[in-house]
Amino acid sequence: MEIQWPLILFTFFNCLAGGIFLMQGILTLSGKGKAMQLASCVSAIVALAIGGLSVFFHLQHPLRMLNGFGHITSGITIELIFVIVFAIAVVLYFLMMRRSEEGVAPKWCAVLAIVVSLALPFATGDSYLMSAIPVWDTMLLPLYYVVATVMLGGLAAMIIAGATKADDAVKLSATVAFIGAVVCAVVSVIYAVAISGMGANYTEMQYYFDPTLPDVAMRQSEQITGAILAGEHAVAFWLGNVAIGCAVPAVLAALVMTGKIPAEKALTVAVVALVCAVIGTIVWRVLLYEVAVNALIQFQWALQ
Amino acid sequence: MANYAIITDLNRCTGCLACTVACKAINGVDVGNFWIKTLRVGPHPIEGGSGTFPDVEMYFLPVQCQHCENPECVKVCPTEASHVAEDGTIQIDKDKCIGCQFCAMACPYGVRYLNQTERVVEKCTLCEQRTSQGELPQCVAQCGARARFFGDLDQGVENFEGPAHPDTPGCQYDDMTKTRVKLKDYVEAFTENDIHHLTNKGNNPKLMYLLREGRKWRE
Repeated sequence: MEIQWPLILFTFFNCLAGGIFLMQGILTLSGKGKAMQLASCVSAIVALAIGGLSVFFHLQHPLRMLNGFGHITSGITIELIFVIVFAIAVVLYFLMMRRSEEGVAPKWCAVLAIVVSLALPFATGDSYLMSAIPVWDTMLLPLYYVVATVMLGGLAAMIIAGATKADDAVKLSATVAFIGAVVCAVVSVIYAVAISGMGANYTEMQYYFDPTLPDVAMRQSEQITGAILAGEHAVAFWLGNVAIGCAVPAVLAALVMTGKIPAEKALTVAVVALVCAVIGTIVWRVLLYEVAVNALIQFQWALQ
Repeated sequence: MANYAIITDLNRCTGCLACTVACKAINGVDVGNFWIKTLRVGPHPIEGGSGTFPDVEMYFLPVQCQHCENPECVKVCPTEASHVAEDGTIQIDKDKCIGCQFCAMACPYGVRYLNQTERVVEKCTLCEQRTSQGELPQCVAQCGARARFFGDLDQGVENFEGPAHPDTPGCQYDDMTKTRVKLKDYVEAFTENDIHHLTNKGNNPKLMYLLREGRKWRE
């Protein structure tokens, strides 16, 4: 399928927004990160807004949304509901923080932050589950979005903590970032292995010809299922997603987590780690579009 | 209420592309886009044969919206632009379409596309504008091999109708277009086992293909 950049950016910023708020919830629950609460709330809302803006570049008639989303059970409608719930939760957190005498949002707000922040990427991923596209039709997709959210959140929180001098939050953020990056690598490798075994999900004709596309070669399922692990996208996957996108952030987060890099120097390291993680997660999302081919691969002539 | 569908006799289809072209002409489908395409499937070696010509078989396969019973495109549409119409066909209300294209992604057969001019998704309507007036879909009416038959599934597939020669040469247009022949009276005998559907991903495609014993259905 043609790469849908607005949707890639939308899902990425949803994960980033969720990650930032998730991390703030974890920190608040642990009694840390008081100084960075406002910055986290603002960052999460800004990320959510950029994601929302991105999707406007995908929709051909976005203003028709004002007519209402009449189909409540469609994945996009559910996704929108979770975006709204997330935004409300951030505002609620902010208001409760401002009302609090200690200047810290209550624990229930932290729990709410964690729940909505994990639900948002899950709902985002869930909307892409469709039997027509076998490589998307797996719970590994929403799972990947959730673990990417954890990784991005940990790294973003390291930056926010560094920028707001919330030194008490750095180590915990680095720990979450480390766990997120390692799990992200594991899940994406499992996902890639799962894709390599999806050949049976495609209907194949050994020979066929589309007279309207006389110069287009026949496609077979091995071109799709074998592309990521050891095929044409292997370099992008192993180097871009696993090495740069997960291993480098994991190592850098581990150095901060273990104190080998002091908290006051963590900001620069976190910026490098987050840039790497962003590259990795964007590469993986692009690859998921590259291999997103209909189950009946001979019939696809839309979106390509 | 009806439950409209088309059956194509693949033993008759010659791959002339008349359906593809007629559809584009009557529905104003832009250059580069199609509401129905005709694929050539094969030639594949016949099982137990020499593996080379003449031990090969092939058929042509016209593919369009399958007007599914359980359409994935309708499930994913956030605005109910894609919907099941009263006649059982899947239609798109272009005024409601926001152009998210999730229906195009969710269609197992890839028969939906974004109309770049109107910036909405479109696909085969089963010539709703014609069938609502008692006419045949244009791909059925113009089928060069009289391989396509249209009808109401509730009335039985054997009663599906195709165009026929008028008894009186020189008759008027109305008489000509109303001259029909039923599937059961026209095509070679077939059994239930000869009726095939495109691969079902839980969407229960309604359009049917007749391919009789002797040639292997590949989908």
